Amino acid sequence: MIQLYNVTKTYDNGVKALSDVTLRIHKGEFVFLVGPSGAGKSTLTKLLSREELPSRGQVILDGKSLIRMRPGEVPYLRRKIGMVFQDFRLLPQKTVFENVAFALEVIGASKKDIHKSVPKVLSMVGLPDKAGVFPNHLSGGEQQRVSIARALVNNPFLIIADEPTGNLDPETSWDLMKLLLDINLRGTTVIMATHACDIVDALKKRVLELTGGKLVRDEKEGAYRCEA
Amino acid sequence: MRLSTINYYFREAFQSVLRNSWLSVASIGVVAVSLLILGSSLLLVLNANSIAANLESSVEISLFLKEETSSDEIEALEKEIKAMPEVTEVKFVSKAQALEEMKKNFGDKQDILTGLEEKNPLPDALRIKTSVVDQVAPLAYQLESFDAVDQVRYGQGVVEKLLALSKWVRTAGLVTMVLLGIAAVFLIATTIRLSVFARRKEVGIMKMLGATNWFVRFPFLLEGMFLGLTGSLLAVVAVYYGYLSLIGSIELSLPFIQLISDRSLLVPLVESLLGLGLVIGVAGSMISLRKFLNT
Repeated sequence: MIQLYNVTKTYDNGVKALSDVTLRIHKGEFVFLVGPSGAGKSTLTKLLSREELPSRGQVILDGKSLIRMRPGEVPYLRRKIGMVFQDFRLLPQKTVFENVAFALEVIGASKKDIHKSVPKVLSMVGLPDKAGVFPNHLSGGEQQRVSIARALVNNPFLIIADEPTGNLDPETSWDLMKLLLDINLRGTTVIMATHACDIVDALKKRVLELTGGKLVRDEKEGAYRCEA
Repeated sequence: MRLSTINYYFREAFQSVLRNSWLSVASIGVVAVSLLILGSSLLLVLNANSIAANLESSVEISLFLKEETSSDEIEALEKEIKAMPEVTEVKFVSKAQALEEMKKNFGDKQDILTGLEEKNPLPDALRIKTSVVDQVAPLAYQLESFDAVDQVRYGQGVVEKLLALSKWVRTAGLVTMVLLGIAAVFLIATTIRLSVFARRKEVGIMKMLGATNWFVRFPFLLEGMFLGLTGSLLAVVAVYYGYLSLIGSIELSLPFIQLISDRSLLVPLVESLLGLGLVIGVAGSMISLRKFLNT
């Protein structure tokens, strides 16, 4: 479903973030993306959501080349990808309900659809009674659940999570991982960039390791192999 | 387009106006001041033109005839002048008529003139109008050479000065309009740019969630339109009532100056000021949104 062929990305300032990466991710997989900071993990996720275009190589998502995609098609691609970030990216002036509803408003969904779908995803992430609360009255773990609810509400085929547990304590991180695994069990592909070696080691999922922009490891049931 | 989407656009636009309230007030003020000056200079030009046109049409050449000229000679001269291409009207004013006119001009002090009927010192005259004011001077020069003509009188210099003034007001007004229009557009552009900047996080999230470029842009466009239109509305109110009170006070103190007051001229002025405010708003936001939101 996701294919990268000889992808190289050099930024305008000369930094080579990815070099000659070729990989394939199938539908329904759960993939950890590991490696030190600056290894190219974020660049890889940005290529998949087409925030960036590769300098060389081909990126194919759901059978479509992202390089040949017209700018007008990009919004429709992003509606099928749920994005989750370390800093949650919630709007502080909107309530939990409104933050999740925003994903539907933005694509022109009807009020009826919004009132049907939002409570459903909120109870799915375990926050059915927090709809009217503002994000800064929630704990970090709860805020991240809201951002996952927002990523899920459009029924994406792919969830890209960029260090989703980076701001959470270990216990909360594990709750969140259970939620992501649950989502993956329902058939959604999950790509998660992370530094959390205990989680990677414990879950024994596929691990892609990037170092200096190169794909140095691709292991089924891999581990982070924390040295430090 | 869905109703809920339209609702969303308006809600976002007005939230943005309120959120950046001081900035919104500033740009509304700038548009209002620009259009106020623009509207005032437009009125100035229109009035200068209309006053100039009035004066132009009233500029005529007076041809004073020699005492001994017979009525046959006068008739022949009248015919000859009438045949000239630039002349539109020739009117004979006898010395008796000239005296009557003079009496009228003196009003209640006309007693001074009694007794002049017996020995009228005024000459017979021909009054000549031309089609174009530019031709007054050369024509006057030409008429001076006729035998029967004693003296030629016209508003020497006044006509030329008036024309120069009218042209100057027209040019200055036009330049002012263009410059202020451009200034207003760029001020709105700056406001929208700041408004976009204030909401860059939200915009980033919208794009991440798959909002189309137009969906992201539209509230900002609406905001620009609102700022432009509100500014022009203020300008229109100020220009309209300011002008009405000006007409009122001028009618009292300077009754001989005729200002334009008919609605067929003021209504289009109001409409074009409002339209211009809207155009300024749209142009300003488009400048800011064009570069922005391309990926």
